[in-house]
Amino acid sequence: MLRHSGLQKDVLNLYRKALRVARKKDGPSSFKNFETVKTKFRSDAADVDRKDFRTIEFMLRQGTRRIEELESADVARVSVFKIKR
Amino acid sequence: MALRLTTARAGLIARKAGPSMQVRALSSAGDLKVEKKAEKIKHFKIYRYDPENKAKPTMVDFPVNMNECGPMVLDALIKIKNEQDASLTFRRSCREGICGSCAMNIDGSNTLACLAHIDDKPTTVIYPLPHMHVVKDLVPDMNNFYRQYASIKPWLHRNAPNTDGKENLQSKEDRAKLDGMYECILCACCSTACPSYWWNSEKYLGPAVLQQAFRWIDDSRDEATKERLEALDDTFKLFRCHTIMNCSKTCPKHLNPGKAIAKIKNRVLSMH
Repeated sequence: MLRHSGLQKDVLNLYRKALRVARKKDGPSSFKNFETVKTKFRSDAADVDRKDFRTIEFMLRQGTRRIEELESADVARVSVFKIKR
Repeated sequence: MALRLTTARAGLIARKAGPSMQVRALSSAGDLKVEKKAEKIKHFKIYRYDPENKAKPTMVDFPVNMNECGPMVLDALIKIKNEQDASLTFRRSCREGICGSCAMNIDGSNTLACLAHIDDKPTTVIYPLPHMHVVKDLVPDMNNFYRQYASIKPWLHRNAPNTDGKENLQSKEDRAKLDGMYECILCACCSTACPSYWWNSEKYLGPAVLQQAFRWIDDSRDEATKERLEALDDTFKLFRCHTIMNCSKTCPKHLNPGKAIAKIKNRVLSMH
């Protein structure tokens, strides 16, 4: 049986919560937020070494903050863009 | 020191003796300026960490010529940001110890960079506030701290609005009780110096917030004293304080959060 570490569980819980919040925000006919959250999570997961706890924990905190933002009534839509450094 | 003394004395004499002496004093001051001081280099070792580029945190050494730098650590930080590395990140605003933005760990103790003198030792080590999540370099994540502050409802509670529409009055003695508490600028130096807060920052409110809680409990105009005390009557929120007193030792505003917490404990216990 596959057993997750504590950190993996945290990430999965965050993903689950993010998807729920996004789905609720989207309403019945749209999947825009849902898709954004999904792509963002998948690209981030591919981007970080799974042993890089420091970065994963940072991203978890950042993610929690973003979900709180998305939950607030003033926000209608989330999107992702990248700044070239 | 000797230079400053002579010019100051020259100025004094000039003021006493009138305009003819003043010319001489000015010219002698001009002569003194020509002498060039030797460079006095001081090293600032500063914690650098940017979680977004996934590199490990590092300590970076910045040499600063003290002859061209202000007296406070914040002056040195601003100078480094201006002249050496513009990517160095820290919070600052008032540069006079009233906003509480530049709280950081300087040579091992939490203080405001704008109130910390640069000492004569060859190096100064600067870290962000201990046991806080780092957003970048010297900027800690204060969200939990502010959320805890909001949880004590830091505003005046009245059962009914004043019928005469005037202010809520208070005697001079009642006002004097608030001295030593209302001055807190919420820089979080005390909370992040507290080992109890390090291990239980999610549940224990920490000295800064508890002191503010007592500021409202002890306010004669506030009518929610009982509710406030009941809300604090908790193993973690209040009683995680084990009178370590790091808070009172480190406070850059010389307040005494430890004493305020002791008073809350007394009030809570007398309720039982």
